[in-house]
Amino acid sequence: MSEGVDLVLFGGMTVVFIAITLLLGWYGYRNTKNNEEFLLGRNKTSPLIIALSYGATFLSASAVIGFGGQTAVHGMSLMWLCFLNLFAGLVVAFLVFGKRTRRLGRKVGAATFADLMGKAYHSNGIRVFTAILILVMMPIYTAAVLKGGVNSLAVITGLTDYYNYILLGLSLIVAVYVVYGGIIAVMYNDAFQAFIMFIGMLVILLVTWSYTGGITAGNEQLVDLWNARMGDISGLGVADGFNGWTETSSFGTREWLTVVTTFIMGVGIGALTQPQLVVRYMSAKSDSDLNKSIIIGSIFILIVVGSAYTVGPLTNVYFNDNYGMTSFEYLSSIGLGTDFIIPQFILEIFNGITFGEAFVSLFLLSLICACISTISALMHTIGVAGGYDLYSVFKSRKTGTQSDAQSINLNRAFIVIFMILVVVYCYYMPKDIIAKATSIFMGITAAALLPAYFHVLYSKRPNRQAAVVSIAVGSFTYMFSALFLNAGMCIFLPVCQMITGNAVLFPNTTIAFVDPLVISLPLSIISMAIVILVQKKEPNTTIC
Amino acid sequence: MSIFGLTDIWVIGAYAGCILSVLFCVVYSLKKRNEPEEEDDTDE
Repeated sequence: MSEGVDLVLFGGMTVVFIAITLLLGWYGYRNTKNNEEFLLGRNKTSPLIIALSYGATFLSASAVIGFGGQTAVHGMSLMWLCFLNLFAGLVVAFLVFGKRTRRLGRKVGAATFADLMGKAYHSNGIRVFTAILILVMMPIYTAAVLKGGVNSLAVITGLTDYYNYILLGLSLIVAVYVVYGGIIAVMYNDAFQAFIMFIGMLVILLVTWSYTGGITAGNEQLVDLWNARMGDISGLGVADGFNGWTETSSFGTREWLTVVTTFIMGVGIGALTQPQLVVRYMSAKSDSDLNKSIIIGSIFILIVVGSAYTVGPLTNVYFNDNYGMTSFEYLSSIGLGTDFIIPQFILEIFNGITFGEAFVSLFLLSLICACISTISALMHTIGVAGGYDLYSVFKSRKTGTQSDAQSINLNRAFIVIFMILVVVYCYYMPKDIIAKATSIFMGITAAALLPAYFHVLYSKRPNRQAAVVSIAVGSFTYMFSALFLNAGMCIFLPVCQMITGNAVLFPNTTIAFVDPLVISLPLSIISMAIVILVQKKEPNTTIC
Repeated sequence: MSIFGLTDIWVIGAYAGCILSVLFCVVYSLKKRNEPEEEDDTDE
């Protein structure tokens, strides 16, 4: 697959990129004087930095290659995920959650998402649970993003023999600048990396439309390609109900359930409770900064996600023209999965065009940016969940007084330990897991925390018992659904297989194709509403 | 109805939704640019 990659050019660009990354890490180190600056860096941000950092953290390699590959298989109906990324992930996130989060964070003196939840509910238990959820689930998501990025890089450049070195090299770069530079280094590097991603994805979109002869011609060729198959879905990697790459699948079918509940709703809604994104609101100096951020953030997300999801289906036209096969069929024939559809397409389409090798190198750099911008934010969140949140509660219990940990070095130690754990995870994770791991992480955080998070922002008297019940119900039902009901997730987490002998409890039923979030989030909301209503009817009940 | 070769109303709607979201962000942000900070309404 390395044909088309000029390793000298790519190597040169990478060296410059690493130098700038470490320079920004040093800038973060120089400007981090205390733990608050390591956690939030509030006075070092601007609307531009917040917007680009939010966007780059939000959109990992998962959005570009993971979900880009999925659109090549499942079609343009996944543009609804782009819409949800914009509407839920930006408009609702900033305007409904962001401003109140920033103000509440200031009011209670919170520096992390777990800290905010714990202090707003006056509950160390909620703070500890949120921190443990981060420490348990986030390394898996981080490992999926890292593995996906390194796999793609190694295969595209033909450097598969150097897989271990690439993995360790990327991990080391992230660890160095996050450990020393804290959130300031993370956010400035995110902004720099977002700029590269933006240019890279825009070029790829324009070159793809140029190949297909324009937007309309490209879409019409995609329609013709499906019509020529006369409804035959064998070998396409889709389920019954698929109606072509430019059509929505039939309502209620397995294909529809997979696309709508797992990919669109699972990820779209889950974005609202991402601890690493919530910190971005708290880093803003004012509401005005958040208002200004959404212009840049919306254009960034539209171009990066919209390009990946538009190019994905159009890769079928290219591979059909050149090999007489769809993207999924062609990649399967050369032994690669859906995560390689976009990289393979880019390698081939830029081959032979002017500055093609430079654009391929730019794409590879965009891939590195997408990967490490997300990983750095995740590692920072993991580190402070241990070194700040858990240790603060431990210290408070030990001394008998409420106080927050102030040790930057403890946060750094947690980042290093968990970075090593993430690298170890990379060696044990199955292939093609990027999109699925993203969906699981976002799903469980939403099911467990979204109702409690919304409640604490909008209630003048947040009800702690209701929050605890909602968190418990959301977490338990999500895990139960993921481990015993959902066919897609049980492949990666075969607990049901080990206990019952069957992959899922109800095979070949609709429930096996419904994402766990669709079951657990409503239950989490209902349980919270019931506790609030019951306590309102009991006048002697103390509401916290 | 065909827009840029697309005929499925849901797919067209998804693209339209994306563009409208960006337009909303631009208009909202410009309108709020000169407004004073809102009061903190989470205070009891």
